[in-house]
Amino acid sequence: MLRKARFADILESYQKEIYRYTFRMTGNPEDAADLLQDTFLRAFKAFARLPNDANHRAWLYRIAHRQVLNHFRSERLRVTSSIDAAADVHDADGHPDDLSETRRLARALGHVVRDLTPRQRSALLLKKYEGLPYRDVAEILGMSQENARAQVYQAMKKVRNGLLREE
Amino acid sequence: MQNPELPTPSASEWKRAHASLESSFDPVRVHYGWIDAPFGKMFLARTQKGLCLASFRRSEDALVNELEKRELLPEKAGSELDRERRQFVEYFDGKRKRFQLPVDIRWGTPFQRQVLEAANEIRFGECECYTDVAERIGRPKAQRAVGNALGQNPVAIVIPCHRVVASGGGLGGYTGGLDIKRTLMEIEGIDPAHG
Repeated sequence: MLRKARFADILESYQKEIYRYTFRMTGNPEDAADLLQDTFLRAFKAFARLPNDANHRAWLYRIAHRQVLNHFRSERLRVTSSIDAAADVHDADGHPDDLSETRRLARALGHVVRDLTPRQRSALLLKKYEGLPYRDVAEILGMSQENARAQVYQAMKKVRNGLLREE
Repeated sequence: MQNPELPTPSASEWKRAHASLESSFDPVRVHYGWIDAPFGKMFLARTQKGLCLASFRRSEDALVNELEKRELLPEKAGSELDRERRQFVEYFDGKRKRFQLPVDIRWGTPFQRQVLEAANEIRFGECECYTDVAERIGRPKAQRAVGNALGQNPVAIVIPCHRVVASGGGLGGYTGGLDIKRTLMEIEGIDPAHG
């Protein structure tokens, strides 16, 4: 019999990854921290009803994605860029040699991802940055795998064109 | 095309987010652990409010499941249960007659809590029968319901349901098993026939 996972272990295993996701979706550390909390508190309430063999990672991303969309709706925010945050981050982490290159890329990408819809941005992060399979990306975003592929394709196309324009 | 680098939270941003996530779970966090009792392993669990579970002969999985059903977040205890462990050891060694621990019994029905509070008034070394407890809570005919409520006692020994016996000198029942009830009565020098 499959042993049921403990929520404490799930909390421990995925909080950093989910924070990175909410951070990159919102571009704001405070909103990202709030969304991280909301995500895990919701997950905790639903945990007792979750089947033993559930894919915890995809399940958490699905909740996080919904929280992010609600956040955008309620704040009437457009997806904002993370340019300033990116510059601070790399200063704080202290990689002076890579700094200008990283900043340039983050700045360029910040301009570009601003134009992505939340779904495109989410699909891009989940597939290209977190390495999730399309099956999971589709489940998280509540769409077919074909549609998930199309979202990632559109996002990549916009990013590519945007980066070309930046250069 | 290679994925361009995206902004990543800094160490200090992550630390703040982590701390605020952790504190949001404090109200539901429950620490659990074991002590060696004279009759084997005994499980203890406590919330911020106090001891919420003290029970025998259960597997760790069963215990964790029960805590999760109560919408708590179980974590293995380090030093969080030190006070409880110490008092139990003193009790088993015959050096403690009264537990001085906050308890958290919010999950029972009002009737169960009433019965448990009545049982809590029975002192070390004394016993009462089910009818006595039923009368004390003003429900003289409810002795069977009293027995059931005592059987649901989440914090065995601390709330001394083992001090409640059948009228006529019988031991009555005990959720942990009658051998445990007998051991506890021996520790306290209780003779059910002369309660």
